[in-house]
Amino acid sequence: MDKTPNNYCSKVLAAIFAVTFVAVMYVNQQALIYQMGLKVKQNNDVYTKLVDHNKILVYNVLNLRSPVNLERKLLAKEVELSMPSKWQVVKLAKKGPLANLFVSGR
Amino acid sequence: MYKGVTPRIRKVLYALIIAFALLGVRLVFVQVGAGKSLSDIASSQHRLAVSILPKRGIIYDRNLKELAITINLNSVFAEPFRVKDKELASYKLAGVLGVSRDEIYKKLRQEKGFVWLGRKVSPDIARAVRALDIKGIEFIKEPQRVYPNGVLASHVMGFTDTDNNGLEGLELRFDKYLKGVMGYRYAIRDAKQREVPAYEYKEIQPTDGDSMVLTIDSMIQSIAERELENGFKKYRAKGACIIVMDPFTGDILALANRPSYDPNNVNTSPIDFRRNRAICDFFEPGSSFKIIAASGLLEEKVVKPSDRFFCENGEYKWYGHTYHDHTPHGWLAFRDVIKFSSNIGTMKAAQKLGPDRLYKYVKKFGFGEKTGIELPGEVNGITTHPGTWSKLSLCSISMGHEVTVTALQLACAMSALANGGNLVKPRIVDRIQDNSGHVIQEFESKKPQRVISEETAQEMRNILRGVVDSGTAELAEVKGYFPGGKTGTGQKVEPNGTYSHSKFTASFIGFVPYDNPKLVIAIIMDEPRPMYYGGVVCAPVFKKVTAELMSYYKIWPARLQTDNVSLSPSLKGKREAKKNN
Repeated sequence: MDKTPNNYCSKVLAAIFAVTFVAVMYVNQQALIYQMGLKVKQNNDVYTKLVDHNKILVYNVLNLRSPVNLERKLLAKEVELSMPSKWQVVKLAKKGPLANLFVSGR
Repeated sequence: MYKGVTPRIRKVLYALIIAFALLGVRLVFVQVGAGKSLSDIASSQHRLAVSILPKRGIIYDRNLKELAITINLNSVFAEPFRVKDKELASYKLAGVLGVSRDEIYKKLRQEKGFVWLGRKVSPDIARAVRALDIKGIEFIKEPQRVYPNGVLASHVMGFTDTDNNGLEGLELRFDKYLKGVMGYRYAIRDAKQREVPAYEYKEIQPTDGDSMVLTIDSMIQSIAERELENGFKKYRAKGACIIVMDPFTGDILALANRPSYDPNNVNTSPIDFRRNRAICDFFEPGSSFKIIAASGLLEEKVVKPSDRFFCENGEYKWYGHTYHDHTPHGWLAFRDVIKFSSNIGTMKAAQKLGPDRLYKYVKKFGFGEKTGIELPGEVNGITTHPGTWSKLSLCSISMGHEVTVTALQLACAMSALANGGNLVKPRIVDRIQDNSGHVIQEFESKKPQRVISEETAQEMRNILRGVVDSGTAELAEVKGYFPGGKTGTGQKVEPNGTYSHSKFTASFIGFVPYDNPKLVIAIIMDEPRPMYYGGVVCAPVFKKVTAELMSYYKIWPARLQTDNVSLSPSLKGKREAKKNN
């Protein structure tokens, strides 16, 4: 085996290089994990925000559809509605050749 | 070895050895002696436990329409040490949050790491605060219980506090089901106290609250509340309540009280408005209680509907006390005694029944005991044992005095007459289910108890049909549907123990249609004025509610009264033109 100082020195340098490389790779890996974690969190936050916004919109729809609020709005516009009597109801045939014809509620 | 070493270097060497020895000792102390406590301190600094709030369960009506849901809203908080110009920040925030500048400034000057500035603010306010871009002002999401229908069924559902704990109604009664179980996430935080998501090391998922399906129908509830509100305002009553019930299953289809409150803004109404009068208030029912004595008399075959009683032309002395009828009557058949609500006729008939048998029927119909509905705060009402009765008690109780009841008890008693003689247990919760729809608990209708025979119930329905047809409740008549029912006007007791001549409790408890009842409707008004008779104050509310509900159920009138049907303007014009031709 060659035991000259030059050869010994190059081996030490190679070892240092290898250790440094492994260390840098490890740090890089940790940084990547950190970044990916942040990205996942950001995406989660966006998702949560959208879900929350959706819930608020659903609440608004329910609010608009609420019979109490509908009545209040109709009263404000002086539109009076009442339940229809039997003769005021028209049934529509769902299928068949008579589908487009009116059928009396009576 | 140390030949070339000068004494000076030697001294430095010794000093270094001593220094390293001391460091070594310190190292041993840090690692071995204080290692555990220092490690704990380090852990607490970089470890983070984040609580994950569960979603509170949804409350649905019987058609699975949402009555109560939970949304996430932003809460605004400040980290005072990070806010540089506190005066300017409080000035800006005051305008957006609608809080006084001094109040915000006071909070920002506190030597705390965290202060709330606004809990669960609206999305618009949150956007406006975010736009101010003030360092040290942050947001956190918090769940907020909301009720899309506002005041609708507020006394049934109740409400929650800021931390989503149920405080009233079903929210309180079923809090343990609705609330859910909190979850946690254990993670690592960096030097700036930010969570490092990649190093999350443990997560316990929250368990969302279970949902609840009620027997309430929001459409029926809406109609009942609207008409009750109209009656309540028209007669300037102190309070009012309405119950719509299925007489066969005991399902409560609507239950409303006035005055009411908006569960979305609880603090804007007085506490008294939150009382569920239908189950928490008891009152002397007056004549509507005559159905109990009448049922007992017919069931025991003590009287027949055709038996005649002399009603003393409106004035009758009994043990030194003078009883009156509101309209004088001479001889009346028993069915007419009930039809015209004669006090004198009823007390004379009740004497044939006797105290023990009257008491038996009072108890059989469920008075003096809670009905067992799944709402908090229900009261028993007061019924006393015949052993404690005075000589007047039999007469008084038969006509609805010396006894106190709740509106729900009256509705249940009327249901027993409507369904053929069975006392049903009312229920307002149908089932509790988890988020995937699996039923956790079902509140099935309990087996009803027979209190009177089917024949007696049929006889009572015929008599009560007469009350509406041509008796004291003509204003409850809905053409073509043949409802039946009983009016009541109870005098309230003054603080000095005497009966008031100016304060009354008006009631009407009816069913429809009388031959095959679909619904029982009870309406109570507390201190209505200027009119106070149940037949005048409550019967019209019954009529309006019944008319709409029959159409809602697509039950058409047996005999179409076209002259009384309201027509749309266009059809009305066509009909009139046809008539003129």
